[in-house]
Amino acid sequence: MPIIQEGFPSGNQADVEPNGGVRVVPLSRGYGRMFGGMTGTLAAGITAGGAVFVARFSLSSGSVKAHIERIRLVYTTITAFTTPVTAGRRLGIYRGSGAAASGGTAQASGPWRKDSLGAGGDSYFDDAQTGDVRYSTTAALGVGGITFETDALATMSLSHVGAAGGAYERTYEFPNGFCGPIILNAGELIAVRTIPTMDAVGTWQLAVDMEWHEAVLP
Amino acid sequence: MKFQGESGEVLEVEDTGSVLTAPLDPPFTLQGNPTAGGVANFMISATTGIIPAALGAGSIFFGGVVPIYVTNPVQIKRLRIQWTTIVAFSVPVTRRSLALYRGYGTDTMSNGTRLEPLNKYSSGSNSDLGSAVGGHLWIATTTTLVFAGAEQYEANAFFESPFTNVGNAGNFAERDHDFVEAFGQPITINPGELFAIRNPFVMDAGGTWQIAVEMEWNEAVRPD
Repeated sequence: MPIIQEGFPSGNQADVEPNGGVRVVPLSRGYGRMFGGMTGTLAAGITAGGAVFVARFSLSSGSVKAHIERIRLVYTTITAFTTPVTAGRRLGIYRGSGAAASGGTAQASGPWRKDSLGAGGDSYFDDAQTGDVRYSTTAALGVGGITFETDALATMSLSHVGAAGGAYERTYEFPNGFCGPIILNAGELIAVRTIPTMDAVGTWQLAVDMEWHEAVLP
Repeated sequence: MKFQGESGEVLEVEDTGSVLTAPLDPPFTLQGNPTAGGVANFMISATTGIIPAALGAGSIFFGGVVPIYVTNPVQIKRLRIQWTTIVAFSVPVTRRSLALYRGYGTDTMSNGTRLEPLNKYSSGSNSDLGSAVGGHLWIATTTTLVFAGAEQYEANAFFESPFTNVGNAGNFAERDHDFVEAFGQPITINPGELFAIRNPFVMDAGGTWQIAVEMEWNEAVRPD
């Protein structure tokens, strides 16, 4: 009995006949990419929904999508919050679209290939390709023209790290074995935002690094 | 038929039916086009409000219902819980835990915050747990969630996660529960079934707490 998996656009993804062998050949899907950076010391009182990191995938990417496979957030409290243990203090990873962020510090242009000798041009997150990646310096980034999804893709609880020097690290992994990458279309973006308003005293910083590859959908 | 990567093909199905696959660097597991017959992948995250002290055993803090009329099951592959104690428990070190149960017998939920699942590909389909399809996915705000009707749970939990050691204010614990194929099979919630995170034991009279929950799942034809 043949095993047939119907696919896109009109043929079969797999069609293995009873006597059909499976051959393995060396092919490339494209190279892995990565960048990392950190905010400055973020001011107290950043309001709910304040974006401190935004990476926008270029509108020019066409059918190429960003397949985000890992995001790592490292949080540190610099100046203690008024109430060090505050229920609900947290950051969220959101998807959005519509425009690039403004303000803060933009990532320097670069191909962001893990293998410097690898094939493939600049990333579509690169400003040279009309992408945009930026971190806050002290205030929230400007997000005019951006529409974010209502719910966060992921949440980083920070209720417990409100004393000076309190730190917490989370790694969010989205490999195929775990329901697959977060996929960004042209013009979509990924952002880290405050969910509630941060209180009036505490200051903090956030490091963000991200790993992904860029490819068209099958 | 060919599947394109950034700089080459990652898979090719020949006219004869043979499949050319690629040992890639890094590995790439093909799931198909999520808008054209491939696997639909979803995720959500949310945080409860401050849960009051002394909630009775069996209270519901996170859960969902898969409508009985849909075709595909919800296959949960990852469930992360981040616990924070806000006000210390009367006895900081005491038996307390949260557990994941499967059940059936109801079709709606209420008394908290309704969540709308996010397709990992924004151009993809709606989840069966979302309101557009008629499913339910909720997280508690300050008290227990409520299922309509008389829900019936399986006797045993999929896991019971202890928080015995985090009873002082500001204590924090994080649990990652992974249910991918490499560990057997995802937790499968079939149409007409529900799932819920509940406390097997009553919480003591002093402590308040919160949890953040993240869930990843796919919705596809059963593998068997």
